[in-house]
Amino acid sequence: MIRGVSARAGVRRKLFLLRLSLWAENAKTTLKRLRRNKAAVLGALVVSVIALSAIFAEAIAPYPPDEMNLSDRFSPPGGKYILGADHLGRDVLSRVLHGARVSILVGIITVTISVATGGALGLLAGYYGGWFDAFMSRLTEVLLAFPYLIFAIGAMAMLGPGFWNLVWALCFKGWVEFFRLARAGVLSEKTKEYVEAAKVLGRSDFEIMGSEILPNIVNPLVVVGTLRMGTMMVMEASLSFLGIGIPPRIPTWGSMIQDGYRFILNAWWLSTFPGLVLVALVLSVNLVGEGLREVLDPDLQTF
Amino acid sequence: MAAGNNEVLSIQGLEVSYQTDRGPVRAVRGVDLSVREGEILGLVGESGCGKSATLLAVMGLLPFPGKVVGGNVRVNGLDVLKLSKKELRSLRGSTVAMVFQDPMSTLNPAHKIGAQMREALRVHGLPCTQDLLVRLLQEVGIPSPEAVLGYYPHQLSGGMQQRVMIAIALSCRPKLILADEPTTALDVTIEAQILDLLRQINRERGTAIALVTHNLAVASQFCHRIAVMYAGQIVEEGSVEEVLANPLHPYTQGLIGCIPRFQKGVPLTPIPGQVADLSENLEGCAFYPRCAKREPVCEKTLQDLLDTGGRLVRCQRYGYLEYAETAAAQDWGNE
Amino acid sequence: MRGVKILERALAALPIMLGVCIVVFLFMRLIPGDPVDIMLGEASNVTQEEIDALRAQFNLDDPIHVQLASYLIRVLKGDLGYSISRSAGVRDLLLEALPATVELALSSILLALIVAVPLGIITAVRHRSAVDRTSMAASFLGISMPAFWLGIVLILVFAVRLKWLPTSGRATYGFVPAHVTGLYVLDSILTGDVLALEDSIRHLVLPSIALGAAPAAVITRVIRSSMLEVMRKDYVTFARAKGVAEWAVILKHVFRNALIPAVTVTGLEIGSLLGGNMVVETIFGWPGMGRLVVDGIFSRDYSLVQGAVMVYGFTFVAVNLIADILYTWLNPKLVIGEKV
Repeated sequence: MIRGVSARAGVRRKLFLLRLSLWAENAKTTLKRLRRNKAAVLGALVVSVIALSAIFAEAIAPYPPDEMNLSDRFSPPGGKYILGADHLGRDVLSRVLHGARVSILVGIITVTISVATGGALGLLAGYYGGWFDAFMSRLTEVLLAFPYLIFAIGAMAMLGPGFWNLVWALCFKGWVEFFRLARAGVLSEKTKEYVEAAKVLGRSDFEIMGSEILPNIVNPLVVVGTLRMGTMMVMEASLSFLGIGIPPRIPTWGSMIQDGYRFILNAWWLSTFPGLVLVALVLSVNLVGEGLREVLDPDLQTF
Repeated sequence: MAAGNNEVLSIQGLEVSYQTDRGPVRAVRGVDLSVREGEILGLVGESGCGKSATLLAVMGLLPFPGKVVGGNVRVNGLDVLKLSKKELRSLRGSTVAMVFQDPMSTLNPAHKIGAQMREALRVHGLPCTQDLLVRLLQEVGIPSPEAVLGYYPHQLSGGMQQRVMIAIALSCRPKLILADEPTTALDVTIEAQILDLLRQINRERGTAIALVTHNLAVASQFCHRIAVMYAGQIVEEGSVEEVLANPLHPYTQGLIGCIPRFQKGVPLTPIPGQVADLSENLEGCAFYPRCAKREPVCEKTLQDLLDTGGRLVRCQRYGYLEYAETAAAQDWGNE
Repeated sequence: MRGVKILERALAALPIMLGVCIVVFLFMRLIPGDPVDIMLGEASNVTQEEIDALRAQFNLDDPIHVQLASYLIRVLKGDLGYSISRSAGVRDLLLEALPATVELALSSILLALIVAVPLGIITAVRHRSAVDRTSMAASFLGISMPAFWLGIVLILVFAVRLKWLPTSGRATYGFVPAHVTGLYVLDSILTGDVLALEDSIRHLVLPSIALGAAPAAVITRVIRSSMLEVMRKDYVTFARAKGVAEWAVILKHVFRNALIPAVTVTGLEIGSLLGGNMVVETIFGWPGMGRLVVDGIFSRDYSLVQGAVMVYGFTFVAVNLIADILYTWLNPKLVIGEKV
């Protein structure tokens, strides 16, 4: 009896390891094919550079991001300040480097939460159907009736500025798209033979969902998730630009652009540089996402 | 109507190649073919043997990245490959019309039947009165034609859609109809009706028809003459009766062996192997790897089409004379 | 038959509108603390009557379902609450700002379509050519470019450096046309005021580009990809085999069918356009709903924000309904009849 149980556990562990190695194999071939896409490689490169400079911002930045030298207000680019200084005499380059943190963190955190919640709910709704599915589908229809940015602005108006408030405001609607992707995937997969076979073999619902269906519907989630990181970064910047996103004491590209916008007639560099980096980052994330789409799910309609 | 002597279509040495990432795919490799006035020619072969590409090349409609790279095509005496785009357009639909395989996807889902018929007439400057359209639909056996003119394609069944397509093809009174597997997508009973219709058109109007089909049985009932294609080449050509009664080429023999018969105990004999890879440069006979009667010489030597008394066949077994010559040449080369 | 389908879709929009109301109502629950206190704390010179009106509007002491019911009833009556920061009804404020927003949104989407439709067709017909590659790269940039950043660049280049166009506002002082519809371009045409027409168009150009760029990029891509898909269809080859001229094949056969998915996407794109209008209106000092909301947020005028978000939601539902109806109308497969 005990031996039987442990043998079964052994088989399970082996199956798990096998599955893990399969995943690793898949990831490897995906990366290999992605490497052939020059635009995606360029995108990945830019993203990594920006991510690294965000992580090591303290070490790289020539000045602390909020150090003010009022005598150097509006110093143009070049000389002491490579990208110039702002209206309070703060170094633009240092602030751009630190601002990268917010953009990247918001991108990663909101997409992770959205994919996890949306994916899980979509899996459950698609698999079980019934009143839960009906309710969730109605709810997503209602949420889709709001333009995304409007919804986020409305939520931020009520919540007030703040990093986590922003994350929640973006996630309130962010999960919807992944819910629909996962649900549609499950609906088309669950009638296939391998799911039936797993049911006949007496595997539990959670095992079937997790280890049979999920691997087959994960590709569009990965692709759209990558692309939405760019969208989320743009939203964060838009909200911070409006002054209702990240509080002003944390440097972000959106609020830097807002600050600079007030002095646009005299000091073009204040808005230009954070804007350029923002566009570069979003563009690169999108290039990686499009590259992934070509490899993982060429028929997926994106944008 | 018996076949006349004027050639409506004559193809000489046609070469079609698809430019792909992995190099050119030579889909048609030197096809000679002719269709005489009032004749029904069957072009038979497996899918991918280049029979559809041959028809599309005649119309100048090869899809990207296909291209005619050699030979010439004459339709009603006009050299199609040398025509300007405008001249080619005025030829399409009027002198030579085409009927496609899948009626469900060949009529534009966004336009009504009447509009699609009118368009065909209008582009060639022909009048398109309601009466004419109704008569055209009646001729192809469509019930209540007035109503059908106002329908969208999806409101018709597959057989009816195919009739509409034939009506459009007939509308400008073409001399030649190119029919690309016109019945493959249809049920067997509908297939018989459509073939009957085409035969009737041929008989009553003398319209020549080139029928592409993979189905030898269909070709045998319907055509006057058949040409068998394999790997972009004609391997055998002759009158239906002769080819069926006495197939010369091993491939034709194989095809006939694949036709199911309503007799107990007659087993089907499949042709082993797979269709030749057209991206490769064939040196010898394309059918060599699958041939039951192959000989060592076939691997390296390509046989020209041999005329064996009105019948053409591309197999060295019928040309011992040439065989001796080529064998000698080969020995010579080896020395 | 189409009529029934269209009616069905219109009816399906009703529960969604109800859902929109409920979600907007629940927005108030996100506020940490007592919203009325916060609102009053921000406002100055509040009369006792205004305080009472606000208390009555939110009736926070009632159980939640009663609050919801009374909110829905008020919305049905067209009462969107009272704006304490502007001392006016929210509905009146929004109605006043609406023409500006509508004018900007319409001209943006028009601009997007004028660019996207021909470009989508050309890039599909000239697939893999230099034109195609360049346009696709540009559209990728358009998708990745935040509207507010594009707006700033446009102002910097065309207004500040080149001085070709004004930096902000809807009209130069003294050039506002007589009020007919509230849409300045239309009004100046209707009243034959040429100077006002030129002035209002000059003011519209930059914000329309900033707001229309992303939808233009997306719509171009959709038209291109669905054109490419349709071009592979047999009926396109058949049209050519009939002897139809190439331009007619592209327009009558390919584009007509490629249009069907494009309509849906255009409807959805108007949503992102509505979202972008808040930032673009802020940048260009455009006196529309977007700017009203942003101002409302800073003065903690929750009723104003709530009302505006709901109107945006309703507008989006309505736009998608129109797209749906257009789709039904364009797609003959929805004509149901007997098979012959």
